[in-house]
Amino acid sequence: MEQETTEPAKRIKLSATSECYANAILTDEYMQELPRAVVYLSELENKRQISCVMQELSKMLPLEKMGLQHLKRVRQQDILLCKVIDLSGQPIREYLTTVGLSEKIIHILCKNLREQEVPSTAPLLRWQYENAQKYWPCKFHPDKYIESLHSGSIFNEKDRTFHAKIIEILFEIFSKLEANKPCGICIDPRNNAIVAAASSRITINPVMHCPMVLVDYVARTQGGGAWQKELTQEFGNLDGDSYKEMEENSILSGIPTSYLELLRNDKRFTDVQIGAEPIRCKTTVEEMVQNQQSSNMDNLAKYGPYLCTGYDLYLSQEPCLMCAMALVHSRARRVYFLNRSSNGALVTRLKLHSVKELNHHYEVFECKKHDCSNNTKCS
Amino acid sequence: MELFMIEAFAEAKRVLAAGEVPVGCVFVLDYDDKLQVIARAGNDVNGTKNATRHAEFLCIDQVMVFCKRKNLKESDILSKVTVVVTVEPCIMCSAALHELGVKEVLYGCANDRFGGKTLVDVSYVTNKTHDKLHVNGGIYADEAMTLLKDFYKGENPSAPITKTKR
Ligand SMILES: [Zn+2]
Ligand SMILES: [Zn+2]
Repeated sequence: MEQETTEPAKRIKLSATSECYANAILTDEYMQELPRAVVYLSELENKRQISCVMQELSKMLPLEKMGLQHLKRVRQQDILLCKVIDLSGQPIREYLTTVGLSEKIIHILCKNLREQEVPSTAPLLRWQYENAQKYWPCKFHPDKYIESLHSGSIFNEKDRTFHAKIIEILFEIFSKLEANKPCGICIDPRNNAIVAAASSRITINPVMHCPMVLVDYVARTQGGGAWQKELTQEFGNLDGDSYKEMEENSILSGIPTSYLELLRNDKRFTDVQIGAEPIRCKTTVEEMVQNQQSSNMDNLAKYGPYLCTGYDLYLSQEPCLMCAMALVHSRARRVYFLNRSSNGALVTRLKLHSVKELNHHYEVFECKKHDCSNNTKCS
Repeated sequence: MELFMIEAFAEAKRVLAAGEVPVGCVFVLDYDDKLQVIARAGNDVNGTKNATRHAEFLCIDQVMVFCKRKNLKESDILSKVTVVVTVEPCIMCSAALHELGVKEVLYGCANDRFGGKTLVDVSYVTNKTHDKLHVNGGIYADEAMTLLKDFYKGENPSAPITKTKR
């Protein structure tokens, strides 16, 4: 990120793919240093004492009981005894007696005591692990997927090129067709096709923020949609052929006419697929389920389009709380946004995706490329 | 004001027949010393294939039509509106109602899955901490809860994955 601001020349070239970064906005537990607790350490006189001391400690004062099972017990001749806070003011010697250690072991342990800060929770990412090691040796079970989100390696060159392309389309709609109003595009990542595209319509209705309109356009591709009456102009003035196509084919009904023309006529975008997957009739789905063809398929593959399940949304503005929650209800897979919003609910004022109680969580990415900087709010 | 909850229930029961999560809502306008219901609706998620079509949003749309017809300013009207809804507004709806600046929200039972009051500090996130919106619940809470529970015992037919919970 910082690198980019020092190299502004990179931003201008649109065809270069390397200048499109999508940084995952991970929840705080992945971004913050691990919390720490103070423990008692005992430095033994020689390493031969370790095994007999360990035997009693692992029985009477197991790390699991203190919630420190992610730590190693020994570092060279230092051995971890217990959390200082667990003593609740009791002298250490007394405490060790209460938990049932033998006189002989207590005598060894109390010769050379000191306090030390150690990580009180398990490291989730490598950087936290490396940082934690400075305090005390830890165990670490790396999660490859989250690690790739954090490092950005989840996206290969092809993905990046695609992001750049979609952001280019988004910017074109934003600047040429929608007078710099917030814009958004919904993608089916299985075939990289544009399902729907929309822009803010708050002049018609104050809740018609871009993402709200976008999910309603997605609904149209599934034979639904609530704002058919309020938002008709966007879909008017189709030439004869396109109109006929639209009538027969609702898979294009999430893309306003002017956007459709842009996508079809602008040479830069003619290689981009357009249209949603058609919805399936219930009997087909039931047959598939009965024949057990679908046992290891995900829900989108199994049942066909349902709300925004499996879809990725690209937004020019970080969504506000209303819109961010609308995308939870809609079961979006990923949300990519370009600009942070003063009322943003995915990084600026809240990370909605970190609210564990919600029944659906999408992944969030902040894209660095164009500056649609006259917008500062989700609307 | 509490008595308007009965009208909200009527909306909830009406949409239940269509397989929707039974949540009903009315917007009550306090204008010229007169209380008047200017919008009433229940959830309409299945029919529209749009998971954001909660009762509150349908009511907001109706208020827009109402204001247009009477040539009134939306913000003037909304600031005099009490939202009466059978279930605590979800985070999305609560955020919208904060943003629109309605007078107050009265709800029936709490919404522990998506509750705008329970899970998130909506007035902080929407930056509306000065003129704090009063959101109060517990009116006919048992009736509202029973209605929801009965619904979740059955299946929601149009949701193949998990039930469209509110
Ligand atoms: Zn918004
Ligand atoms: Zn709601």
